[in-house]
Amino acid sequence: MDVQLKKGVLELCVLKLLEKRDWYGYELVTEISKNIAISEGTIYPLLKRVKDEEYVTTYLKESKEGPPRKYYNLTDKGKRMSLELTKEWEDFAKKVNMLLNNGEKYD
Amino acid sequence: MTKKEFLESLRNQLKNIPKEEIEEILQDYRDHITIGMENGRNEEELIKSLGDPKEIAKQLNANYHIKNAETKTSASNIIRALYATAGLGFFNLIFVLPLFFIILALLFVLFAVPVSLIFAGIVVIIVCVSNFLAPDYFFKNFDVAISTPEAVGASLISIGLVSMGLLILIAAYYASKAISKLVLRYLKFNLNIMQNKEEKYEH
Repeated sequence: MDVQLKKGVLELCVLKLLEKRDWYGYELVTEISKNIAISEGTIYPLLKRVKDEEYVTTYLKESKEGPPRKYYNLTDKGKRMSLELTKEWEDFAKKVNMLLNNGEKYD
Repeated sequence: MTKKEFLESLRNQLKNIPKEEIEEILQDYRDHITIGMENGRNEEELIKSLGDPKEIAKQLNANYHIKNAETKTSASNIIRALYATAGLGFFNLIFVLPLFFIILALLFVLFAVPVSLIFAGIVVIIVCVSNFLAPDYFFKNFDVAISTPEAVGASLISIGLVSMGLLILIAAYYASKAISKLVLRYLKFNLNIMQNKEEKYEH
């Protein structure tokens, strides 16, 4: 895959995961990099950005082992953004699919 | 690369970011590596999959400087944000910077014109009023005599100039705000573009 992952796709993935429950950084990163080939380290700048934009808040929770986990929680603003990005993505995917189907017809 | 080398390299590449923010960032990566090792991954593999600390730092720098320019909008902060975002490599500073300076020059004119209008208007009004209050003094010192109808006419025109200047000034203020918003939005758009893993390793 040599396409650029464009505007908001990774952000959408993060927000979507957070819709289900709160995640801590390491969990989020491993979950996303399971599906999308991206340097794991670049997800933290994204997390920082969505926090700055107030799409998420963070809180620390003690763990049985190791350092306390920094959990990410989706805010109402984040939920609205998630909805908006989902719509944008579906719209985009629909158009690409339409093009692909048209392509088939011309073959 | 070891954990220590990774964190050191990241710290060294973070430019002009407040200390507490840097510590918070480094803590995230420190935790990531620690938790990864608790899950049975080895240090070297973990650090390799985090990617190049230089690339990570570029993103964090751009993040911070755009955010900073948004809260404290000034020409120098926007230039800093431009510079930091250019580091991501999606646009070339050589093309964008001249354009930015042209916009800056136009904005300067947009402010200079109303300021001179207002200044000129105020000077004329002061001259007319003082001439009305002390005509003898004026005649003696400047060798001019302004008749009352002339003074009234000139004052009215000057009031017009000053109000026009004020209106342009307000327009210029909103224009500069809109332009900086637009520039910052463009920079943010660049933040949202991410290259995938394979491409990044080619650098």
